[in-house]
Amino acid sequence: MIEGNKIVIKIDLAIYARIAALKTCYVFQDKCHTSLEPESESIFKVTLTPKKGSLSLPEIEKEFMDELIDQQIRVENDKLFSNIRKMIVEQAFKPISFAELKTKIRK
Amino acid sequence: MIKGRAYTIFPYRFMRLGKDILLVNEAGEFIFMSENDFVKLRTYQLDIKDEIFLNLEIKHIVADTDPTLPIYLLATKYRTKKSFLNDFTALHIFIITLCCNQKCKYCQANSEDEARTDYDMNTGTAKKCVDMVFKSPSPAIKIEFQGGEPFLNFETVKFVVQYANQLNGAYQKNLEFVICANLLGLNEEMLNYLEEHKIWVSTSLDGPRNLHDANRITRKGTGTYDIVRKNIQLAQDKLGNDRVSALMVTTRDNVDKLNDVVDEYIEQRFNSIFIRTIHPFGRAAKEKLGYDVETFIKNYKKTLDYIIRLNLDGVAFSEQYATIILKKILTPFATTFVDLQSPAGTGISCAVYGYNGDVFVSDEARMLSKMGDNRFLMGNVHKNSYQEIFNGKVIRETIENSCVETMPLCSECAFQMYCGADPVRNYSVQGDLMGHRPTSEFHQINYLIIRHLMELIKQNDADIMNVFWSWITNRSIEEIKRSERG
Amino acid sequence: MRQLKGIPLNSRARIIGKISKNPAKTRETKNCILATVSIEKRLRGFKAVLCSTAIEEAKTIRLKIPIIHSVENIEALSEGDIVSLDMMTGDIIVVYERNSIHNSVLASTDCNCRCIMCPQALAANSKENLKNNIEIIRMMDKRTPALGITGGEPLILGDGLIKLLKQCKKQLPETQIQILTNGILLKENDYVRSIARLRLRNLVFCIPLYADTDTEHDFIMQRKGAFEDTIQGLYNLATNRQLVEIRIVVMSLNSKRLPKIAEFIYHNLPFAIHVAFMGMEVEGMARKNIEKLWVSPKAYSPYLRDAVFYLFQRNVNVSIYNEQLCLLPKDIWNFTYKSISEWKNIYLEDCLECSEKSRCGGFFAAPYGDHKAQIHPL
Repeated sequence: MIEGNKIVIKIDLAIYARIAALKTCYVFQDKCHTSLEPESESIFKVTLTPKKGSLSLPEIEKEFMDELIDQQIRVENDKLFSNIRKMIVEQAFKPISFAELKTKIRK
Repeated sequence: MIKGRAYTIFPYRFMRLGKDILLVNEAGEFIFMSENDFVKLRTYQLDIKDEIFLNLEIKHIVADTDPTLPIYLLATKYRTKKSFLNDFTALHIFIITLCCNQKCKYCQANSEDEARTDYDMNTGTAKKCVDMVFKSPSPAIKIEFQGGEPFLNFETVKFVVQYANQLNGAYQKNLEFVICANLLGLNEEMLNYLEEHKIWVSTSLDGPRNLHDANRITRKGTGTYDIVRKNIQLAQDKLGNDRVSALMVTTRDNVDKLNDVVDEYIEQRFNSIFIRTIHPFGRAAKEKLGYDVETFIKNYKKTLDYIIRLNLDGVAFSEQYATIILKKILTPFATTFVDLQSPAGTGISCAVYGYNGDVFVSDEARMLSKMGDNRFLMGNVHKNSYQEIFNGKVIRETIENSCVETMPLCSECAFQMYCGADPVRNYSVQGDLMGHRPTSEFHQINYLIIRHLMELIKQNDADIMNVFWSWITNRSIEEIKRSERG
Repeated sequence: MRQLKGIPLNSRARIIGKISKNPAKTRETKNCILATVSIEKRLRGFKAVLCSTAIEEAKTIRLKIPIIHSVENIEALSEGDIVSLDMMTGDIIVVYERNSIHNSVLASTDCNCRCIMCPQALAANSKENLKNNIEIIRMMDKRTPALGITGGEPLILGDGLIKLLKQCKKQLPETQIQILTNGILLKENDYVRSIARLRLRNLVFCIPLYADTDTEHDFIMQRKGAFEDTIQGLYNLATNRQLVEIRIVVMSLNSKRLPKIAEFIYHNLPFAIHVAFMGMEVEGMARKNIEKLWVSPKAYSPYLRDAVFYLFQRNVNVSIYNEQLCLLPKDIWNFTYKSISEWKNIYLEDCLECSEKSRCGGFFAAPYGDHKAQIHPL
């Protein structure tokens, strides 16, 4: 929602993880001044004030929402991937035999 | 595998590029897919017989059988990509003097007058530095002479070469020397020495006369182009073209005339250019190097395109920065470009020895020290042991904060495997080692160039890909097009 | 292997020896088999004698030496060739040709896989095999350019293979030894290390990879886990600094994925020194399963072309074996290689008029189905 020269976005924490909201704000820190406040237990209110020379307000709002979705996907992926990632890096620098690796993965 | 799911999904990072989604696996291998397929992938709705599934399988992003092999392969490839870590510090830069016979307007080295000798590295310090160099476990050692102007302290250069070769009799490492010089004072004796000891030469050339002399001037304020051009030719004739290379500094004066710089390089028989930005230190430098990211990127793309067309017209000429990124994206191999790696090359791949024996993680770190900030001083060869210097607090802290895998924004970036960190720059520009990605010029420039190259790769134009592979494999484009085996 | 036939006399054994055309006695004679036109006088010291003329029974009793007479085409034998004689049937098998670059030793007749396109007839290994092979290697010319160690699966021999390789190192120190193996047993790193310790100067492991996924590859090898095992074997070879060549036999099951197989090899097996794409040899199991396996070369040549160029662009050493030039796009002719042994290859009638016949490798055997129709002189 655009209010004057600011964009106000309400993020529903039932849909988006807190960390996804924070990361999205971080991404926009070159284009906007951002402020975050909890509106209620389950709503984050983000206020974006574009710095000069940026895109138009509707464009920033749209980009922010797109980025938020992508960040949410990444948060979900993190849960899915973090164990395998650890395993890959560990195998890379402290390799065990294929057979031992197979047993380790089964566990 | 989870019951009820036809396949397992393996780690990937993603980014939107136009209408497509770019996915990159843990080893840096990439694939483009449509939004539609991306949704199907995530919701386990891909058909395992579809071509898109097979193509994802070959990149180890999905697997419909035992996950052990994909993990094994990814781990091996990840290890290969990080193999530059195996040998530890291979590049050792000796700041042999701070004196210089030039006073380039953008100079970062804060050079001193050429007559002074108190800024020269003496042989006592040089000896201790070489001793320290040989403690590195790397089987290949490159000693690079920088300054000021290293030729002004040629005696110490010769001492280092002689002493290092002497030590190497026992160590039997692959030992190379490079001298980074403006060549203003090059004479017959020096040329003969360089030839006899097979020393590589790296000089500076900012473009044709008007561009080069805009900034690269003598202490008296006169231009250096004519002498430098003459001496480059002498060096090339004596040592062979491939032993002499040149670097440029992109300034406000030449950033929009890079095509002219390329033409100049070709005319002076160089077969590549490195279009790079360097971080400005000090007010004078900021003025000269202060063009914005957008300007740089716009001109980089334009000149890259120009270079590609030249290649297709039969001129064998490459852009080195692009070549490094392309190697990271398209090949399974590691690259040894210390300025763009994770963990950063500071200290662990490259170390800088000041004229007084101080050891720094990078040349920028040394400049910070000259300005009063010793944050990145690892130690001194006269006072500290190898362990204290190369396993001390400074190097550890610097490295711990330079792994893109754990840095904000970098940790989820699809370009992670193609990029790197510069903790010293982050500290000097933004105040801390981690840096603030959204406002970091280092991030923006790398990100935009990598993205541009990725878009060219996505287009998959046969001609452009042939040019890229000719750069990567160091063959002429004729060889690749004619498909004649050697 | 090239084979001749004659009428055997004076023995019922199996004899292996080196061909000599010189009837005079030398130090070598006791290992040699004389090949001559006719037998004039008593010949002492030779293991056996081959001659092209017929010999009366009465004369042979005096000669007291194993003889095969009435041998047709005896000029095909060269000095230094090694032959195996079956004195029961009169078969003369040329197991080694001194002037050929395509020699090989059949190390094992058995295999741990049953690839659906295998051209080799398989049988259980006999103990004699290893002993005979070591003896044959002992008689080879030191200047032999290349020797293949084939099968079946040579690695089944275990320590036997080590013995064989030791003999190669002794007798043929400069020869390029190519072991044709599926690599599965190389997943045992200790075994790889024991081969590496022999320090043969020119040893190459030629290992087939039929697909970029385990499902397909395992199916073609008819062995579950083959892909996994082969990759482990390949990595063990790389770790032990052994030279590796990857071979891909082209068939209907993988022809469309050739470019992806090339991609898999480049990214996962970058240490391979050579990659060879091969036309199928339609013998044995391949002939039996031909309906399921057949894909016409014209149909797969675009995929082959893409795969070859993919690797060439990346500076990988790549070749095409067992393909006829008239079926390949001209821009990949440079990658072909006359890979079929000279005694084995055949040409069709159309080939006689072809301008590229000398450059082309011809066929293993009469071409199948529409393959023949596609052949045309250039």
